[in-house]
Amino acid sequence: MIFNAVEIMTPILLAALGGLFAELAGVLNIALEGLILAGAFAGILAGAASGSLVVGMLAGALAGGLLAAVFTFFSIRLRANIFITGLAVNLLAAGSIPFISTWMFGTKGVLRFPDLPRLPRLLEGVTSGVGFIDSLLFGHSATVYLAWLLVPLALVALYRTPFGLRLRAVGAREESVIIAGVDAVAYRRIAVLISGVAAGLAGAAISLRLGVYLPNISAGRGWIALVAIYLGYRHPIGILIAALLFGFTESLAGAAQGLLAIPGTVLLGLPYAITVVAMITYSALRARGLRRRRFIDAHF
Amino acid sequence: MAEKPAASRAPLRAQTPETVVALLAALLVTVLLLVFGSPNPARALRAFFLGPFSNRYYFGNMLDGAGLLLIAGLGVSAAFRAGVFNLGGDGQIYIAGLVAAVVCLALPQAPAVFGIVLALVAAVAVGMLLAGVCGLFKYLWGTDELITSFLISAAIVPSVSYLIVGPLRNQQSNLLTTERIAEQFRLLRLLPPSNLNLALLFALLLAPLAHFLLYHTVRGYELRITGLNREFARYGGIAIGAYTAVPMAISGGLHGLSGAFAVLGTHHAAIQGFTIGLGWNAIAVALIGRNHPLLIIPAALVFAYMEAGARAAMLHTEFSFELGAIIQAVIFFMITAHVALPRLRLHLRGRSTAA
Amino acid sequence: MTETPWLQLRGITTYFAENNVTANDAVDLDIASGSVHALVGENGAGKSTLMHVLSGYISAGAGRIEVDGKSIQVRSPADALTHGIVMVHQHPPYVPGFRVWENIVLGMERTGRAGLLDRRTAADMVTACASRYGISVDPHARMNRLAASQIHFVALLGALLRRPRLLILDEPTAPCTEPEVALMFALLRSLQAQGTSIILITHKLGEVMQIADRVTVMRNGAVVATTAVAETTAARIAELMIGEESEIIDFDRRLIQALAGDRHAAGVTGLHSRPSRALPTARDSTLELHKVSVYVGDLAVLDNINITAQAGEVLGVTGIRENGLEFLEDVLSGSIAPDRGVVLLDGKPVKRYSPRHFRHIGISYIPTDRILRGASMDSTVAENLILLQRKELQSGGILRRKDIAAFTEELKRRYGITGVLHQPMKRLSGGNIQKVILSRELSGLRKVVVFSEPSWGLDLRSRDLMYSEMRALRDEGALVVLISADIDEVLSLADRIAVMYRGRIAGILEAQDRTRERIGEFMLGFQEHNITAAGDRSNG
Repeated sequence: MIFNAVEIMTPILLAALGGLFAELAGVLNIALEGLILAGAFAGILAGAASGSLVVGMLAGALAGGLLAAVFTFFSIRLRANIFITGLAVNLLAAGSIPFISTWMFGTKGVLRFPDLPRLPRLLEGVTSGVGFIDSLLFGHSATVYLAWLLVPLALVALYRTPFGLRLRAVGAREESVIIAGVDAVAYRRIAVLISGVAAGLAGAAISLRLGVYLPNISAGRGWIALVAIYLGYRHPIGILIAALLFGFTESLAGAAQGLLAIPGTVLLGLPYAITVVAMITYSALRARGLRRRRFIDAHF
Repeated sequence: MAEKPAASRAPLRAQTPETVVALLAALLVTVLLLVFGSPNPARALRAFFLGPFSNRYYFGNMLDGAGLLLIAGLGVSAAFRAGVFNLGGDGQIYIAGLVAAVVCLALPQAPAVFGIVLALVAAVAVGMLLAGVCGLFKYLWGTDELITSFLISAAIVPSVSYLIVGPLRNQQSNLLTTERIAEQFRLLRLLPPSNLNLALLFALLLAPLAHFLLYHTVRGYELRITGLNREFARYGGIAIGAYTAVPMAISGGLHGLSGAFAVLGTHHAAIQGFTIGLGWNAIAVALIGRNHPLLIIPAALVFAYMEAGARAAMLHTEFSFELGAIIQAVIFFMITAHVALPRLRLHLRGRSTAA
Repeated sequence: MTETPWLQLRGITTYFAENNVTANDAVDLDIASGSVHALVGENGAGKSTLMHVLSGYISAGAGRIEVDGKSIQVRSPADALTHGIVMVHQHPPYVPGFRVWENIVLGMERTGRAGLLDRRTAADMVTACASRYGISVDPHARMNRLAASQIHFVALLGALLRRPRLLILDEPTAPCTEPEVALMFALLRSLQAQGTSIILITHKLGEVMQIADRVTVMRNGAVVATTAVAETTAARIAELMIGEESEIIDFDRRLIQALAGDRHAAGVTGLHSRPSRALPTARDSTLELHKVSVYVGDLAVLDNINITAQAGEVLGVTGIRENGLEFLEDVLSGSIAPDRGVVLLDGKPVKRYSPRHFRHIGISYIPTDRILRGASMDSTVAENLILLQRKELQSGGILRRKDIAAFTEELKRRYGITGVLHQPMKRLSGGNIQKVILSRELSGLRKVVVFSEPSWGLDLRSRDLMYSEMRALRDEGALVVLISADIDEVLSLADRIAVMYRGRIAGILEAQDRTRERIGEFMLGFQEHNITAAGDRSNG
């Protein structure tokens, strides 16, 4: 079950780490869901066509990046409402993939790619002697390790480089960066592109692991990732923990399904339900912590 | 019209070009997709543009669709105007539709008015509850209502589908649907054989009512002020907490109403996925209508026409994918974009500018 | 002035479409190399805007900038920096969670191994530069733990590390103590000796006389005069800032005529007639702050404030900004609740601290922030005007259109608001926005009226209207609180003056012993025992 949790959390972690860049630059990227979907579709297509998983992952990243570029063009260049354009990205992905799929394969349903190589598992057979640690650390899909690698990478990029310093300053106090002669808009744009690339990777990780493309394969992971950014206190380590928590809850629920005989259809909504409960709990606890907040809301 | 406050007019005029550009862009993309995606572009285009007017059936169904969009679009803008965002309309409509169907199915012998009113009330209540709690959480703890409303909606959609295809399924039908509701609950059809029914008239009355409430009452005034500037509203002694939760509930209630009419008026049963997409379309409609109750009427008509056209194009050719989402996407991209060239660039706003 | 000045501004014009203000109107300015050039003028004269244009922070609508006789393009702060033009803003923007060195190196970071931030070199660089100019600052301190003056010094350090040819300082001494001012001036002199030009925006004419070589006076967005400091006096500069005396007198007369005309039309006696719908003025109120403290973290931004004000007086509260005026404004308007102590109206503690309740019990309030708090810029003028009277202008929840039209027309006429009632608020000028707020606030029960920085950005005419309204209110028996960082404004209007310093009331001056000098001493804490408190700040 822990093993499963780690596999489930991986795309969430990938997307959330990328989304963190956008978030810290001051953009709530609600387009993550669509970006993941684009990455999943492009990833498996390129992977199957080339027979290479690496090419598949790169294609996923590219697709996410390109769609994010469209997103920034409208939201930043044309100064359109960022939420509405974020929705547009989600709809564009959900609407154009069936179109392309029909055009290429004659179906908008499930796409199977039998020739696609299987995602390799790393560190198989390695054991520490403790079952819990083994299932946490060893024998996972290669994408799991990629996601883990990106945690320290994000940490360094955000907190140890000039780039990260400026990016965080853009989100926290834009003027402080502008007066220092830095193009704040460019940083915000780059941050959204990074989140697009990461979400694309997340999507490719999903579809390449399954070896099939299903309609709505992202299944809300973009939204979960968005919530994970908050639950993780907008910090890579916190996001890792939050993503693990989501993965664990979901795999636990999956296991409970068998025992409680919950219909499979209902379970499709479960990730969303878990996420919304987590989000509300988090904000309630946080609000209690801030009870002594200075600017009271008049609610009479 | 002379009495109409300029509050609504002045910003509207300025936004007209964006709206036209957005609609034209959506039309252009649709045409391009039909031309390049269909094996028979000429037929597809013809079906798209003329299909909705080709017979009573298509025409009536288009108007019926416009009615549902109008109600849900008013729901979207009820929240928008107060500065909150109900992103869960799709799920609220769907579950409300099921609730309306269940109420009617549970009381097959009830008198018409009683059953209809009860079904409407139950559907509206469910919608209000689902959206209202998001507003309440926002008010209590600052939980982002945009995300919670979406997540709650997404979480319940599969359960609604499960109920329709599982326990409540009509075993005699080939469709994944509930039993049909009893005759007396079905709203009067206005243009048989199409689905057009009394709900459209109701929707057409609802828009001016919403306009009156928004522009001619104290509460409407307070709601608009809160939506435009919360700090100013608070400063003026307006209960901004109430104007966070209540508009969300109203928004959910209107979505619920739309779902109920989809059952009582249009389909006479809850069918799997029968309203899916309506919530998103309603957001597009509200944006095209600039969240102005009266402008949402033409917005709903235009959007229903594009949707009906897309459906006709798909039926008449071998064109087999949903144009709807792409049309929505184009509109969402364009509708708030600043197409005109930016004028004086200002990095700094507020106090220090004039100092 | 035989050779071409190092820097020339020609015909700089800046127009703000948002509030319809022309902040700079064809401004010319010459800056000699290695000189200290003071830029003075009242609030809203356009000084800061001009410097924002020069430093690339905003774009001018028209005009050109020349360095060494060659025209340069300054489209962004980055452009300005490449020409050695560096500005330290009046409220230097900073990232609260950043450390001092992070904030300083932003935009000019050094990297070490593998492209990572070289933190040690950065911190050393900051320390070295600071000690060279005698500034004491810990490069590893968090920005949000610093006092306002320290933030200024950090911003100044950041500017110095960029090796400016022209350093622009906007009110740099406003939050500073006397020793800090001395330190800053010594720093400026040594920069000047190295050939750096300095432009100093200030309100303090003493500083101009002390340090500047030349001075330019601005008024209403235009340059009134530029002279060598040696050839003028502080009194003459003050005259130029305010305008000719005759002009003021003439203005007062016109105002009186205008108001007198109104009186006939309305059939009301008394110079300052009011809208007929207005409720009567209460005559016996008292307002008391009893042991009021407000904390941000563990810092007392309001520290045990005790003041009582009576009906029929104008209580002035002044101080240098960031010393607690902002928080006093928020407490007096019900926007925040004090952490300790109470506000009492007519001897009774207020029940709730919310703007809603404060309005209910009769405390009107004209906020500092007119754009965000005082007005809804996207609503119409009429909708802004009826905010407080919305309950009176309805029956059964429905707004009475005709009464609203009559009511708003009346306010518009009485207060001389120029603008269309059914146009968005954002089309109005700053002065008209303030008139809308004023007329709205005085349209209710006039019991206690809190004015906060009422004249910011106003032209003389609107300012005078504001002042006569304030005096009239007092004469009618209302209780007026005037919160203002402008000493002269407080001196001319208030009956008693409370001076704030570091969150405390440093002193309350009665009519007989108020002078600019006395107030100044209190403002800078010279009359206080404890002026060494470091590490405090007043802004969250």
